[in-house]
Amino acid sequence: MSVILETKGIVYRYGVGTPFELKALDDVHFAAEKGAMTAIIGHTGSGKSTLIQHFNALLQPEKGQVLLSGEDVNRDKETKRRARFRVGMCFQYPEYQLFESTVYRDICFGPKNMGLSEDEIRVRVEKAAGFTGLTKSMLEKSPFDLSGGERRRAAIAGVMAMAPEVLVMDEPAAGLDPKGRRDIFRLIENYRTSTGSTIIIVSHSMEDVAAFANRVCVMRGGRIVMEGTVDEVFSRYDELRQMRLTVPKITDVFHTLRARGFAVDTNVYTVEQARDAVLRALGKAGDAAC
Amino acid sequence: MLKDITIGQFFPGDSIIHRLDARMKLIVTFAAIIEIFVCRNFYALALTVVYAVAAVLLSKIKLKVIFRGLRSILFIILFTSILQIFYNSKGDTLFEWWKIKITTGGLIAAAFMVIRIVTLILISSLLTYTTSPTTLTDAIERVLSPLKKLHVPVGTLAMMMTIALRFIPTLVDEVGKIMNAQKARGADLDTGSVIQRAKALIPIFVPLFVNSFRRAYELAFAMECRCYSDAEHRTRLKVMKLHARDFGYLGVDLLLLGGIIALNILFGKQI
Repeated sequence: MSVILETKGIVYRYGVGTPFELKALDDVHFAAEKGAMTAIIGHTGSGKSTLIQHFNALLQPEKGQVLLSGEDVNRDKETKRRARFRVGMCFQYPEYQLFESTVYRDICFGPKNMGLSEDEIRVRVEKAAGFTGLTKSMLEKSPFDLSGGERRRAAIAGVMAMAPEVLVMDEPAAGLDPKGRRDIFRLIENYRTSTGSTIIIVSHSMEDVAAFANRVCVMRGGRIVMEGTVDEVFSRYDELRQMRLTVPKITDVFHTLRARGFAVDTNVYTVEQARDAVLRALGKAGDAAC
Repeated sequence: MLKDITIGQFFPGDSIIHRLDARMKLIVTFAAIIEIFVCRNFYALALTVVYAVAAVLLSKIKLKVIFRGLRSILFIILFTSILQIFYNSKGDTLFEWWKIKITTGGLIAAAFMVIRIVTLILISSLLTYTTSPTTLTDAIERVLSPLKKLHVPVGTLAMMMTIALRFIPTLVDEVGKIMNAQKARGADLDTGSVIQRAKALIPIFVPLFVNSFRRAYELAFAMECRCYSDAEHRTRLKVMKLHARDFGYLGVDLLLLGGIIALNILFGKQI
């Protein structure tokens, strides 16, 4: 697969020249494969949010480059503007950015800024509403009359309606209950498979990362310290624990089982894998008993 | 842009000015502002300048910060001094063209006004530079507390001020976030005509107002849950005490007032 978005050794400092100067990004090399879902995990203050703001040129790196399909996004005004549309960005708690009189008009905001025709906009809005499960009657309501979860989906639809090639989401499921969280991840996954878009997701929920992401990137102190498939990253259990990062709960369970002397695999990250691992272990144990 | 406005900001420090009692600082600053307007000639004005510069030096606030604060009001200073030049027609005429006439009196008046405004800004901004917002509102509440007898809700007003100050950084932060979110949706805030730019602010201000109301409700609810009321006899965590240095500060200010009056009488009115 080819790389669509990558950063080459970017450095970014906040508050340069003040006593509060802080190096938020330190020589970051990040790459997102086209059509894949890449998850970025790490603690608060590890530089995740700063990094993603470079993807659509909201921030410009001090050093290094951000390349979108091989083109430097910070080259001039035109490339920056193009990056805004090609890389859709959905920040944390996006429901607080809704402002229009109806949900429909709010979703139109992005596509309108792109200068699309009325007909094209209507098609886009309907498509985005379909992905996010917003009904016709919801589209006519004021965004402030929707429930919290509905508002979240309306805001996500506003970004999806721009049909970005890369969709970046910062904690899209923050503050939602477990079911709402799963629903958001499912709709993102559904969006990815049916449009072929690239997804970059920042999340604290390791369960969801394990279940949905293709690749995982671990950040710490403004650097990327681990990068690989879900299996490659989560199998480095002890290192993650040392960084005080969690792994999926179910992985914890299997590590504990192993420590207590059960012959189970520890590369278990989802409940389905757990079932298979238990059956495998029991099967072996059964064989031994015979 | 926003970073350049240093007026009203607080710069923590441990200078003698920082340690003065906030109530005394408030009263003396207020008095000094009036004293600046009492000055009738350059000699008296020079005395206030000496006072202001001495206070600035004692506060150990970086001069860079002070100049940046002055730069942000440069326009006001220029505007008023230009008005003075054209408004005042005393003295010899230096330049005349059509209806515009510049006289020595006008230039002197303009210079006087510039010095006056700069001194005024120095003295008043020094108060906020060296006093934390919470201490300042606390001081205002106490200085105004005699008004309670007249049923003025001083405590409530002070609480409102404290809350307003408390939420400034929160709102600045929020504006940044909303701007980023709308920029990510292709909002163009920097180009276009004045009307287009004003329109471009709608997607920023609507969410900002909605969120502010939400916050206000949440805060009011939280305060009610803690049984907040503006009842009297609330005790304080930090009790303010007047020290010898505070009276010394007041003494300096009274000396300044005396000096200004003496110089006014001695040299008469220049402006």
